[in-house]
This record gives sequence, C-alpha cells and structure tokens, in this order.
Amino acid sequence: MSALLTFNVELDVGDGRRSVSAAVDLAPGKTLVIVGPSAVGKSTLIRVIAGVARASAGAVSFGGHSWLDTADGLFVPPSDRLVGYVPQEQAVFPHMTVLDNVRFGAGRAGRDARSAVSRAMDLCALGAIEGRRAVHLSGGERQRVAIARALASRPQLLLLDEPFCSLDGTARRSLRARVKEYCELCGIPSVLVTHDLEEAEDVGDLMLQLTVSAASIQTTGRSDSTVTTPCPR
Amino acid sequence: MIDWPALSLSLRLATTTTLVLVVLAQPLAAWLAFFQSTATRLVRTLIALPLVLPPTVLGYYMLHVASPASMAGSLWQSILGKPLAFSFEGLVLATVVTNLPVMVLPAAAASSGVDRRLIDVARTLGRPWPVIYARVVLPLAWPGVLAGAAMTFAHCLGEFGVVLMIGGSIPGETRTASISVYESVQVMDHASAGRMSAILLAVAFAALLASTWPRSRWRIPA
Repeated sequence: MSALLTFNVELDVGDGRRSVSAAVDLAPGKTLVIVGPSAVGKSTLIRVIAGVARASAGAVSFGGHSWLDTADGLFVPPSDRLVGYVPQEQAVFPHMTVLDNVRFGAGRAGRDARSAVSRAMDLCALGAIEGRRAVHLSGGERQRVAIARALASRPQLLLLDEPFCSLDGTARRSLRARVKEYCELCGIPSVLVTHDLEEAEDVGDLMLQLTVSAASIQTTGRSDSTVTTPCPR
Repeated sequence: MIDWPALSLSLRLATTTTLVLVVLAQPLAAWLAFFQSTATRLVRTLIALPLVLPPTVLGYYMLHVASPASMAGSLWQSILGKPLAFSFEGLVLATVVTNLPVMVLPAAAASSGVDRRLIDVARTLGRPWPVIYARVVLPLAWPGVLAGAAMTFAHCLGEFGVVLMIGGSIPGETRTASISVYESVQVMDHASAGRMSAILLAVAFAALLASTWPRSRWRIPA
C-alpha cells in the first residue's frame, strides 16, 4: 500500500527563507529523487523530513502520521519517525567497528535484528571488513557502512542525502542498484537527494525539482503518470 | 612535621567528590550540550555560580542547608543519627556543589564538540538519549570528561573556604590539608606549612598535567 508523503515547509537556506511544498504518493519500493542546484535547500528538506532539522514553519506528514505541524506545536522526534537516514557526509561512529555500527542501527528491528544486520552487511559487501574500526575506513567504505546501518533499522521510509557521492563510478552504480533492489524487495519507499541527473533518472520513480522560485514534481522515465505540484513562495 | 591525617582526609575527600561528580555530571553535561532553552541557560548559570561566588558565601549557605534546623539537615540526622554539618559527608556535599562547574562545564563542552551529524543519525535510528550518550557521545568526549575529573580532583584538594565553613577544623574529621597549611602559618610553623604546600602543589600539578594527556583516537580526517 502506498504512503502519502506531504510537506509544506519554510526552510532556512543560505540566502534566505524558501517555501517547499509537495504531496507525493510513494508506493512501496518507489523512490522520490530530489534534484536542484546547490544551496537550493535539498539537504535541508530531507533533514526536516528526518526530523534532525527544524523548519521555520510548516507541516510534514508520512503515511497518515503527522510528523511536524508548527501551527499546532507538533514535532515528532526523529527516533519515533521510523526513518533510515543517510546524511551526505560519512557519518559513521568512528570508535565502533563496522559490525557494531550496523548493529547500532538494528536496535528497533527487535527479534529480526540479527537477520537485518546480516542482510544489510551482505548488501553493502561489508563482510570482509566487519571487524575494522570505522575511523580506519576509506570514504567509500564509510558510506557503505552508513547505508547498511540505515537499512538494518528496517525503516518505513529511507532518506538518502547524496549517499553515493564518495564512491567511484562502478561501485556507485552497483551499490545504488542493490539498494534500489533491496528497497523494492522489502517494499521500503525512499527519498534520494542527488545532484547527478543520471543517478536521478536511474533510480528515481518520481522527481522533485527544487528551484529558487518553485518546487515541482514530475515523473521520470520509470512511471506513467505525471504529477506537478507548484510551490507557492 | 606533615599532618598526615589532614592530607589523607583531603585525598579521600577529593577522590570521593570526583567519583560522585563523574557520575552526576554526565546527564547534566548531556542536557546542557544538546538542549538549548531558557531552563538550560538558567541551570548553566546556577552551576557556574561557585566559580564567582566567594567561598565563604557559598559555605554560609551550605552550612544553613546542612544545619539540623533545615529540612535537609534534619532529614539527614533522623536517617543517619548524626549531623550533616561538621562531618565528612557534609564536606563531600559542599565540595560536590563547589566543583560542579569544574566537572560539568568541560564535560558539556566536550560533548557539544562531538560531531552533531553522528548524534542526528543516532536519533533517527530510534535509540533513546541515554543510549546515544553512553555509546556515541561519551566514547568520543571522554578526554574532556577526564580533564574535568582531573581538574575537579586538583581543585578539591585545595578547597579551603567552603570546607572551613561547613566542617570547621576538627582534627582527623574535617581538617583538610589546606586548613592544616593555614593553621600551621597561624602558629608560625612555616616548615610544616611549606612541606604540606609542596605536596599539594605537586599533586595538583600532576593531576592537571594528566588532564592534558588524553586525546581522542577516533577523529576521522576531513
């Protein structure tokens, strides 16, 4: 069953305040990609959806659950949103091993934690380095750990902020294909921020184009219908 | 002659106070580091007060709190059968309050120095704050916590005004090393005062030097 992701928020970005508003019907396993020029607010938007950044004003909801509504003073903390969030930077816990990083993510997987960790480790090809401390990993390895950790949390919505940017060409294409396949298999909808249009076309089912003046949603080649949501400024 | 009972009491007092504060300071430090509100500003100011308040003033208030006439003092006496004022436990209470900023503020600064993105990610993974603090923040902020503990120990060793106010100078019970130095000077026994001062100087120097040593091994190069 698809889940409706809606947001109508005022974001504080580098050059001022920006309104972004959209309502996206995200079917299980489908991916919304957010593209746009630098400093337009893509990362801020995904951070607001994750709950780790506050919007100046507005509302966010997913699957019928309201996560933010500044008019009512509602703010659901990130720990209760059941999202998997992979930030742009390689935010791995440097003092933990690869395996402990991924295990840390599986806290809410409950009795399935072991299989969730094992699956995520396999998907991101981390078996050979599971005992290494994250501080000693390369940039690409750290990003694979961050993705595996988010997947091990069994999220209801996966939020990816340029997660593949530190990987080289082949590894990048391979990992994003595997993540996409995993999400489709497990029915996890995802939101991907990217500046790479090829990547957006490759994995996106819906595309949200952020511009300085407006945000619009359109389908990529993977979908039949076209949705456009103008964004009031 | 060295006043060994006074030196022993000071070392016991500094060790006890440091251990109490290492535990007590962590939730306070985490709260101050990661939450900004009017309440945190107010509490931070209250915690920092002993840094600027004259020790005798703080000691005066502590004496009132510990007195059998106060609610806390009478409760203590009814449970343990002895007064809080002029006891070792009273000294611990006074030095814990006095050294709160020495322990809490460096620990809070070290905690807020931990990469915020790590904490953001940990929060999205559904982990509660105590788990995030214990498993993510503390392993990365421990050099700051240890520095706070070393400074607390050194500062507590030389505590004078507050302990004199709440404990008096009962030999073997509340007379600390710094009070011993003061009393030696009063009776013109400069040799004893000099020896005790040299010991306190050496221990304080060693504690502060030790606090500069720890470095986190877990910083990812940019």
